[in-house]
Amino acid sequence: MKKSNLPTLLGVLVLLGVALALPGLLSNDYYLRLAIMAGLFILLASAHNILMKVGQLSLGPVAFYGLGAYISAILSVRHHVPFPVAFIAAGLGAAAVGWIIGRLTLKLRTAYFVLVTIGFAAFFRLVAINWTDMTNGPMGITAVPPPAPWFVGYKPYYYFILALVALVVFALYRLEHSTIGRAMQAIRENETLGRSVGIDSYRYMMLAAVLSSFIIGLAGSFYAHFFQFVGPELLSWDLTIAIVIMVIAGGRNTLAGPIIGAILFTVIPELLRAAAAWRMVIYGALLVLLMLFMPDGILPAFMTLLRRVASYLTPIFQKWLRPAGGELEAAIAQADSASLSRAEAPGRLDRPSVPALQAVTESKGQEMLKAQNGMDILSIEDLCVNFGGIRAVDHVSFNVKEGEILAIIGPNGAGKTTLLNAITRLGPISSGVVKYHGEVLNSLQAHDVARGRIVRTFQHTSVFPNVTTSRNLVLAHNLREPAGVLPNLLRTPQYHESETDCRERARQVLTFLNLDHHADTRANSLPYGNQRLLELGIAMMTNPAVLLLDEPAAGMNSTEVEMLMNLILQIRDMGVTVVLVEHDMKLVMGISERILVLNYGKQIAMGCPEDIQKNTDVITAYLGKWGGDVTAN
Amino acid sequence: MFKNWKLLITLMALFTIVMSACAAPATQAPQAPQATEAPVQEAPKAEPIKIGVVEPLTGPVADSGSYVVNGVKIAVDRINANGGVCGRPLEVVIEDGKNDPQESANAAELLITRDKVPVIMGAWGSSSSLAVMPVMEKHKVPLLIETSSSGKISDPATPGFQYAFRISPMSKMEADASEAYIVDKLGLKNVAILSVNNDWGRGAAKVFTEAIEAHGGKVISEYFVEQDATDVLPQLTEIKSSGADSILITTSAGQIATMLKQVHELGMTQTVLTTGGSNYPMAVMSLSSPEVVEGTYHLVFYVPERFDLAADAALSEWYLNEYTKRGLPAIGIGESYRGFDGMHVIAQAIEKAGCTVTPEAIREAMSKVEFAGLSGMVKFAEAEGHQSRPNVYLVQMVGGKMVVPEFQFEK
Amino acid sequence: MAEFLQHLLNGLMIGGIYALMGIGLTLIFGIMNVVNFSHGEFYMLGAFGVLTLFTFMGVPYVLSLVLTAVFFFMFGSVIERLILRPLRSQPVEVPMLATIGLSIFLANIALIIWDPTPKDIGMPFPLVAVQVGPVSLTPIRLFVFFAALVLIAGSHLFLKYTTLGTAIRATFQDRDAAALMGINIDVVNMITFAWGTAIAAIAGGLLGPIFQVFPTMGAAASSKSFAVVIAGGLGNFPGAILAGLLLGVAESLGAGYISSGYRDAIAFIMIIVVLIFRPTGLLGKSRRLG
Repeated sequence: MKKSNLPTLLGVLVLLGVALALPGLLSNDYYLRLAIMAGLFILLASAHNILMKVGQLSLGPVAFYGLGAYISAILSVRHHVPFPVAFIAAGLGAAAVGWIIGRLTLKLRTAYFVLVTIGFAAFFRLVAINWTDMTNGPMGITAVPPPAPWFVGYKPYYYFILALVALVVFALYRLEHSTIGRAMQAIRENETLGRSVGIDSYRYMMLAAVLSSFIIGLAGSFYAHFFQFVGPELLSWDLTIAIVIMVIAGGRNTLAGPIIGAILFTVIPELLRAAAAWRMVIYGALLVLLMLFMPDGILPAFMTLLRRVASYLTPIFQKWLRPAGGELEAAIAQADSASLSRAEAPGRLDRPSVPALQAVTESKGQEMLKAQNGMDILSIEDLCVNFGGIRAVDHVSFNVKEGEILAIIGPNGAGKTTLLNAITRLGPISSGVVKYHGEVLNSLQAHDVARGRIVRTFQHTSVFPNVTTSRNLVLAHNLREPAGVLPNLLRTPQYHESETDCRERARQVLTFLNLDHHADTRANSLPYGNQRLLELGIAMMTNPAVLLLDEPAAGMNSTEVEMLMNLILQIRDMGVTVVLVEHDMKLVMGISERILVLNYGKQIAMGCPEDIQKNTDVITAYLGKWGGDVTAN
Repeated sequence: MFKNWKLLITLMALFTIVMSACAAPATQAPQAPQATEAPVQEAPKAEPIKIGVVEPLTGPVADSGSYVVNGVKIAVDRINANGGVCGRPLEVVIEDGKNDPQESANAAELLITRDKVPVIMGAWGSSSSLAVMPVMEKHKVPLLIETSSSGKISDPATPGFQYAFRISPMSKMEADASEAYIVDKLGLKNVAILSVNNDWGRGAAKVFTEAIEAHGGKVISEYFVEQDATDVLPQLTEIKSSGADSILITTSAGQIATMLKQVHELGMTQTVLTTGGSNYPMAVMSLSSPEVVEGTYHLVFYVPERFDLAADAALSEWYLNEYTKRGLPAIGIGESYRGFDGMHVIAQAIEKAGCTVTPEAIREAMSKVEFAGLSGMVKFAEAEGHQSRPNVYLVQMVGGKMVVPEFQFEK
Repeated sequence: MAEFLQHLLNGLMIGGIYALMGIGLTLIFGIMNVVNFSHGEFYMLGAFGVLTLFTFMGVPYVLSLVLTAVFFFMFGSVIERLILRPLRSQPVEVPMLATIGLSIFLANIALIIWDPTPKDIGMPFPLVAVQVGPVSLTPIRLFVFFAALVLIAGSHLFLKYTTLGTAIRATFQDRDAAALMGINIDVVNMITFAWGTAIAAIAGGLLGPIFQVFPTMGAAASSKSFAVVIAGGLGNFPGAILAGLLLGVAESLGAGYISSGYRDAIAFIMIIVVLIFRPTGLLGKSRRLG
């Protein structure tokens, strides 16, 4: 990691040097002005990109831009507040409004979110036009003073915005390569899975909204004092489009993409002035072409091209290249899913041998756990789940004992998955209680449940699809990491500790699942069986006390099932309580200590495998369906 | 592999645009779509004087911007045909400001630094002009404002005030000039105001309310509509039943035409008076029909057919002929005169500066300008905030023609 | 009371067009999952099409509308094939940005072709106010309203009673299942988009004579259409009709009684309130079509 960082660091230093020397190099004020505009747009695009990182596209960044500008202008013109105060107030004001709007809208997803943000931006514009007492309406606010009397010419503004950009980009870089950045990536990749491994998606979305509006508010303040004029045009649709184009065309979810996009799309419209009347025609056409041929953006497209070129050249320069290694460090460092090549060849299905038993969990010692065995870790009391008129789970009560393997079986539609959803709080509870160590879970949210060390897998394969296997594991480590902004920004010892732990655990889990050789494979190009194993690995990264597996063997061949049985037994031996929903009777009968049988949401039997096999109700419920399996056993 | 090709092609397209644009810096002015080719000049061979123009050529008000540019082109051709300024031809460099403050300020910066223009005309809307003014102050280059109406521009506290000179009237001047007759003679006693919701429309609503009330009239309702609003039936329905005897409208010719059609649709009989300078009645008529505009009143600064009302009758006649000869849109003449007057003011300022083509000299000479233009005598009074006071005339549409009622000239 | 009736009538008349714009947009979203930002530009181009045919070439008004619709049906198919189909597997923001690019492109091409000067289509019917009881109306508004109703009803019948309509509805319910049943998704998408484009173009041609025609007229139409689609529930056909009429009436009454420049805020407030409190639209959860 340290080695590979050196060229990047050098590159950044060179860029910074060029940026510092730029006013000297540009004899022309026009170019300097463009450089300032580019800086302003880098702030806007980078800030807007924060929301893209949690998978939300906003078409309302101008609301905060305008808000920041108006706050700053009104404070300094009417109340003669000094610039630094007005500047910070603009940021905080925008952040506060960002928080409120976030509270109102962040429950929405995809197109719904996009459209509500358009509504807010348009509404803010109309307020700016019509609230004449405050904003002076369409007349705008003139004579906004410069930040300080010595802000003469463009140079002071340039260095001010350069410092601001450097600070913001550095902070965003720090955040991206931290728990927060990884949590955001996890939410973007697979929000449900993220929540089920303890990531509070709402919190991170709010964080993104507040952070983004704070930075945009600061940019607005700068705009006001640079242009010395603020009017409602600042909240125009054209500006929104410009910002969104910069982010998406540059490369959303990357750090450098919005920067490149901001610079390009500040410069291109100015260059297109040469095309006169055709200017906006070309601009529109260019945008369509970009989306058609570089839907991920310029930066990722360029990276792909570089990688292809490199792959042609690699054989020639092979001897100078270091052997590949440190994929976990790379996975931790790599936050950019889009830059991953899509052409990774799917790995060959390897039949994992039974791995060496390893203390993957921070086991407090098996003896201690054994001693505790028999205590109820989870108790479900009189649980009902209704969907409309249908009662999917009907007065179910049972206990899970610490350290056991409990299987839940039943025909399709028996309510098994609904039950798991209710316990992990991903799904609703209509009545009844779920208790964990005697404490009621009902009012908790999914991520809280995961943080309480109850973790699950899903019936339909659920991984973080566009990132590598090792990155998948790293993303699942979130709940064991400090979540605050400051520890992540300042990289406290606590932060470094958790990074080390993350690397160590991921390595162990990879070995445990025998997925080492797939560490660098994209999750969605893994063979199916390995994807299912990866799910198990994702759950294991959180160090669960209770592991709920939803049909882990579905779609596996018999060899794979055998291996899975082994793994589950080993996981149990590490002190993890396992609840298993499964159709594969060989698996169920082979490893579970007790079995709960559901039919049409009702609990029809509970007991050890031998009793269940003889239970007439169960046999009736299944009819001949698994009779064959039983005899085969 | 195919994907690769597409990628390459797009990258190349991007690259080509960047390169071609760099290689051929924009010096020729963008052609306004309606503009015909300028006739070949017998201009003197001396080095041309470059003059910057920032007007909206794209976006919602592109039409108005292009009309002003048409006037600019006619003026430049006329000046050059007469030997140019100080023996040097004028050359205008026109940049699109989209009527967006940021774009307009960028365009002004570009003109000053790339083309080294000693003076700029622009930037149409008040917001754009106000955003351009600090740029002018920084470079100490004068700005001739041809359309903006905001009072802020003439406020000495506004950054760049020292460099801004305006030929378009503030709404206040319109109201001052017309208040003597609008209530007493036109009978605007119970007035409903219908204005575009921007600085111009709101400014007009305010000063006309004061003027009307000063003469015993009453403003009984006030409606502001967005500049792209098309449906004003709800407001008109209210006005119709409110007992208003007249409607005062301030917006662009296009929107006025839409409003008048709807006034007609509702069968309303109120007196209509339009203001603001972009309300050229012939344009309104060509966007609706003679019966829709029949009988309506309009306050204008320039009456093309009435040469005697211009400060220079011969010039006014020449302009109408030239404008018609070029086949420019008839709708636009009511706005194009500003570009024409503005360019002549700049030319005269350069001459008054003793042919010293520097920004500072031109700025100082501005206050000495006295140009007899299409809309009265242009001169910038320091006391009025570098503001020229153009003519204001009331016209009425009668039988598809503009008529200038005589009562306005009675004292 | 007369005044209220007049407002109601004005609102319904304009609301019919909002509904017409809305159903095209909502269906494109429901079937293709595309947020189409060029809808307003198709409306603008439709108006220019009628201007060219009716005003400049003297083709009868109704025939101009039909020819415009046919042309934009083909135009829409081409756009779908060239721009939207290649982007089908991309996340929602990619085709969305492509349609934004398209809208910028079209608006500015129109600026070059027809120049920025507003144009008057001229009245296909005499512009006289007809007094009906306490309210006054004009033949052109009546024609526009009934044309909108006929088109909406026609679209409904098409979806309900034709094979292709059934295929579209099936795709709307479940794209994958429809594909498995042998429905050609490519055809369904193309027809949907082409139809939406044609409908928007007709809306432009219908309103053209009442208002004016200029290259940037699409922006306002777009934002109104979005308000209608959201309030009706994204992808909800009857919802869009209801929301269109409601928005028309709300704006009419709002502007009459609230006055001021906040009238245009009504559409956006409607967007915000509906999305926050009832994201599935006024007509609730059901995904209905036709």
